[in-house]
Amino acid sequence: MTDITVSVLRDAIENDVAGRLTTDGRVFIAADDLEAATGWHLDRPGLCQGEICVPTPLAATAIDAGEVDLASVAGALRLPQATWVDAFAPRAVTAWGRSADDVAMLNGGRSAPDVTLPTLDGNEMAVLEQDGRKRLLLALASW
Amino acid sequence: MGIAVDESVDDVRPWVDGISFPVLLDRDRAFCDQFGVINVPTVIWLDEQRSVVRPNAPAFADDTFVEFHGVPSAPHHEALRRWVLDEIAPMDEERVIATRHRPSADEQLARAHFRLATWLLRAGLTDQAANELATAGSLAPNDFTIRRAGLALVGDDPFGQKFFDLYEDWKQRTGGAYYDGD
Repeated sequence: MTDITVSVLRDAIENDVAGRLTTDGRVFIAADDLEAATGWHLDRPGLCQGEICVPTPLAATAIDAGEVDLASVAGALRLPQATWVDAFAPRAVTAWGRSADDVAMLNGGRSAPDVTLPTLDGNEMAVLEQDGRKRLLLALASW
Repeated sequence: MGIAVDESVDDVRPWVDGISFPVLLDRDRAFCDQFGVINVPTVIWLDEQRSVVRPNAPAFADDTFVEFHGVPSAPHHEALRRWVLDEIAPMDEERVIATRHRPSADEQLARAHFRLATWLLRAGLTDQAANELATAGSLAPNDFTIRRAGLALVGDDPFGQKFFDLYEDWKQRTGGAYYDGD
């Protein structure tokens, strides 16, 4: 195993933690670091975040082993993931997305997801700000 | 409210000069991902209670390029007037719910690869980024926030030949419809 820095990307969030790279290219991090890296933590029955727990046998195994294979966590959560590894840097970067089911739920019925983004002046604003008014969201681009 | 699907404030500024409404930057595609936006310009209408009144659809301010994209500007302006002035909704609730864009697993996986690509680009690893962009593009061939934005990100011209080739393929596949309900 090689000691590496692992970066986990979720939207604009990037969390860096120490990790280890196996010879077959798997990325492990300390079980105690999972929450800082991904927002999910290990409980005996499964992977938990806030009020939600996803049951999975990998959680108990990881707690006992003290470390966890990041890709298997994303798999258990059914999250799309894309990973790049450079054994020489040494570095692993993994981007976690949202599952199609999660997006469908966010857009269930007529509800609009709330998303906070930076403004062009470097402040932050929620797209659902300006309650009480009709509004248009206009996605545009320089391309 | 404008959401610029771009990499940097500098990219966006020339396009929003003189605009009075707020413009937010979606460089990591959190907005596009959660709202199911795959092309621009996309307009979403929200009412006073944050409900979607008209889901993702292309709409243009004028008809400068109507021969290219086939979406005349007048119907949207007219529908907007009716909604704002007369409270006439552009479509009934069932149609709103049925028409909302629901991405596939491949489209969602494409976004993860795209996000990785932007990290690699920002780290100066352009070849590796190009690989991830190519993977993303093949998973979500109709997602222009990946494919056309991707051209610009690697220094190609998003208005040039590569774009026109991409556009022709897209038109064959989709008939020119941005979203399924179009």
